[in-house]
Amino acid sequence: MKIKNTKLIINISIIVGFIILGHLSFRIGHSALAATTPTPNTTSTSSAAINQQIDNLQAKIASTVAHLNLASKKGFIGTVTDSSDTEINLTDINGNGQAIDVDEFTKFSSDSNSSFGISDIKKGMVIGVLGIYNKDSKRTLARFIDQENLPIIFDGAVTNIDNNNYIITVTTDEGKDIPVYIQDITKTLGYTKDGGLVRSGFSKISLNERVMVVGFPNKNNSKQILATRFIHFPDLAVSPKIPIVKSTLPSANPK
Amino acid sequence: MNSEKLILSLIAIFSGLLVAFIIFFIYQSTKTISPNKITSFNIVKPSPTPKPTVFLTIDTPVDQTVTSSKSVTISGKTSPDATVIVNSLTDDQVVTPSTTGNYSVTLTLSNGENLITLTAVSADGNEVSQQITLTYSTEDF
Repeated sequence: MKIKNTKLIINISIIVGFIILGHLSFRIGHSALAATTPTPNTTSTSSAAINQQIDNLQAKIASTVAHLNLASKKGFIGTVTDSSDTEINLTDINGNGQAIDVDEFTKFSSDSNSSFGISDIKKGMVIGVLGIYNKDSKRTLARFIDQENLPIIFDGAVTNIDNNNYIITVTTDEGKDIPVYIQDITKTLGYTKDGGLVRSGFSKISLNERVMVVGFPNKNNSKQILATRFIHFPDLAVSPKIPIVKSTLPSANPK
Repeated sequence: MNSEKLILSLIAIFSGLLVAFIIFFIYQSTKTISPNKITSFNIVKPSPTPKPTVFLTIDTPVDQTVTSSKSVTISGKTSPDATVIVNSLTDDQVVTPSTTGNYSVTLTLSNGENLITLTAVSADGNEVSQQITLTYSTEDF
């Protein structure tokens, strides 16, 4: 028993000895290696310069990336709510407020006014803005501002056809009856699921059909719309909010 | 002696409160309201908001995007049975979505800001619309 214990102690001592020796040799080797690797003074100077250049480059890249992340091109249309010599506020088509800055590089254009500028922009005017949007300040620096003359786009159901005057009454979801004048220049289209979107005509438009109208208000009759495009959809159901009307007129005359 | 007084005082307060509560309870339970003072009223249940039968989302492009490409593909989701009508300032298109409701339409943009209107019409005639502005510009600024 005693012999066994003695052997065990010896074995452990040997293992511990090896571990200590190994550790010492590693420490000595490591310090020797460090001591035998001289760093020339000139190399250290040049590496410091390179490091400085890398730092500068990183700073520039970070600045550019931050700028790119912060600023982006943006274009929108809206109605002017307020304007001054350097600033315009408007409400865009989705009802969101937009703050716009104007500087000496902002270009203005209008189809009706060749000398269109910031002083011509008034409350209620519809303009298109193309510029640089800053996500941080939530402002757009305008580069181009155009006066817009947008058409009215609405849909509804045909509730009356005046064959003599080529006027179609379109009733909207809101219950408005809008007289639409089908002009000679009006592009009339019809859509069916089988035939797709094809050229159509005034005579093919029926009562209670779903229609989509694109046009402008008549200057002589503000309630009337002069249609530039008129699409009727014989296949599509009319809005349940619009009451069905009974035909009291003879069939439409072909145009 | 003092502690006995304190305990007795507490017991007295507690007993007083208990008696007062019992009297109040008996009074309330025996109280009657004359019939002419009773007003009956019906609680009208608010009618539930009708569930929209059609929806429309535009996944790409994002509203107010500026692009240097004349041609743009608008895609998104709607009700599978709906028909999507797309109107731009110069063009009209009608598309039907896939069975999963995905739709896609390619439009040619005009110079500058383009107002695009999308209307989804369901089989029962209900509709929903969305508008986006896409700007075509090759200007470098």
